[in-house]
Amino acid sequence: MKWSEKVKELAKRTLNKLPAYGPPIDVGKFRITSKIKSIQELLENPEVLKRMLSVGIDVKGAYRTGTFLQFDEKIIKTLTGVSCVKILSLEEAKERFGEEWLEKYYWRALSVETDMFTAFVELYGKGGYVIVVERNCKVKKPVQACLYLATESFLQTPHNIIVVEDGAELNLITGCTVGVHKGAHLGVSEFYVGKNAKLTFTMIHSWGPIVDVRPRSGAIVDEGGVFISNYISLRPVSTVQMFPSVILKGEKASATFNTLIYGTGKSFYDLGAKAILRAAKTSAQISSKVVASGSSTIISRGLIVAEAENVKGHYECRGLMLSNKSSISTIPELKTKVKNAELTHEAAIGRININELAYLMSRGFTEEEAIAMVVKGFLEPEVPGLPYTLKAAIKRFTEIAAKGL
Amino acid sequence: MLRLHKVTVTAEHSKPIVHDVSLSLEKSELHVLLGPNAAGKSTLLNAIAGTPFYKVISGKILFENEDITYTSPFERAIKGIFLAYQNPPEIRGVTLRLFLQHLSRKYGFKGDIYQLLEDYGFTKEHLSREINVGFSGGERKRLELLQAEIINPKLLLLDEPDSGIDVDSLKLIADKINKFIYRGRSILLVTHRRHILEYLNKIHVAYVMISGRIVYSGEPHSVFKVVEEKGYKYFKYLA
Repeated sequence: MKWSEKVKELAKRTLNKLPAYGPPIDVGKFRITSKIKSIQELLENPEVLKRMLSVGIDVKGAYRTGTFLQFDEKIIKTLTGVSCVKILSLEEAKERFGEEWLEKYYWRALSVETDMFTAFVELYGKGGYVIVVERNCKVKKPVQACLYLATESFLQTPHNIIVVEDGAELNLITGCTVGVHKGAHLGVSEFYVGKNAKLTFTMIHSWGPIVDVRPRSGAIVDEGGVFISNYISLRPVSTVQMFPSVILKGEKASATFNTLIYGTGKSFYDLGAKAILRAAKTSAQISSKVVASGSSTIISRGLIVAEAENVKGHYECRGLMLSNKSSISTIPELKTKVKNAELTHEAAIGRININELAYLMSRGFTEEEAIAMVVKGFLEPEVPGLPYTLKAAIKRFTEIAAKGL
Repeated sequence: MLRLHKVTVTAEHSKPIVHDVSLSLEKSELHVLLGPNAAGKSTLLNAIAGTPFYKVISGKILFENEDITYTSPFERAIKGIFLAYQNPPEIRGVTLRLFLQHLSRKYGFKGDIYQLLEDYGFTKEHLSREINVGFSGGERKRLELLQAEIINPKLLLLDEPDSGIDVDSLKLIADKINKFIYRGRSILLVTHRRHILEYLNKIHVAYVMISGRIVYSGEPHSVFKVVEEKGYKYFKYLA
């Protein structure tokens, strides 16, 4: 049986498998047909452009190697003519690269049997991008991908595959946002980082208070490869649950996960990262900074597994509580199967220190201003690989977020 | 400028720490409040600045003839009262750059911030650091006074700016205090060491506080002499 047929079979068997974490979603309640009449119309709508810009997607911006936009399931791509970078839709990639390529890169960094959501995307998924950066190709300007929910109650189900070949480098920004109230997003992403290659992947979410989100992603990093994954979500959402994983399979490969969350309203986040240190001298760092306001719930998980000699792993979580109705949980898990692994974790969660507030107030700031300053300083990301425009956007974002306490 | 009328202060759920303190401080005057540890000197300064957890349970605080006894700390700051903390807190996440930007904007500071940093013994690199995180004792005290340059308050309450610092920082701080007075600012300085006093140009009034009460107020130099020779215990009989 061909691999592509086999995964379909596996998916059918997995369709009822509940996710390991987070509440299930009744996918039957959502639409899977889009009502979009014209993408051009959407692209001319200043409100849509503004929303995209708020998640780092600059449609008119010149400083991009390429752009992939998916509105519901409809796709538009632009490329700036860098021949060693290919941006395709998943359908195009399947057709162009064929079964041999699928054998190698389709459901290999992430199992289709993970849960009902991976299975659903395999069986009914629509859209998704494939980005291939060829051997030794280093693109400075980022590639951007936007996944936009444009139809009320739409269920978006893309499957993305990113291949950064040996010695290549890519900075990929994905922004996910909505123009409607209700919806759900099940996005599968697979990352393959070749020998001495580097991938910086930044995902920015700006959903809405009745949008449910279940990204599923996995990465495999080869010898000397570097994988950096940044996740930022500062606006309200209904529920987000994800537990991306990375397998460091080549010596000296490294992975970093940075997470920045501002939980507002009734937002529920269950976020984690899993790093498997399979080869010697590999290292992983999982850090998250979370702020819980309103009646939000934030769960931060970190799992690091040492399977080879001389590996290092560190998980840390810093949490700031702004309300008595919200909650933060931090769940580190370190496992080692070898003697000389160095695995550590640290976490600190609590309220803003009252003495700090009193100090700022003694300088003429109101209590609200003082809280905003501390929150803004706390959230201001020092994540590497972000382009200037995005840093500015995040800065504006944190300011707005900090004011809306 | 500042008048305290029989002020009694408690810190959260405690018995009164400061009792019936009255004093009066005018423009361009430097007053020094001396006393042993735990005499209530810091409590008094915090009560004047309106720091939360310090409550005035009787008496009045007047600033420029306005009763500020129960106003919020930020209102007092805006009116021109500045408290330099004895132990300023570390504020993680807030860089000095962000903080000084906010201060400059709020108080319309038009001067050269880089020059100011240099004057106070800081470098540009300090701007990227979080407030007081990893700062030495001297740096923390100097940063307090540097903020006063930006805020330009009318009254500075200095809580032991001379403790835990080296002699260079001490001279710098004393020099800045002299300049504040020269520019017409008023200062109430709390200390329990004599050393800094040697570097101050003119001290108008000195007080000695023992067990929360002012037991002496008047001409500074004779007080310093008594404190030097006989120690604070001499004043205990007055209390």
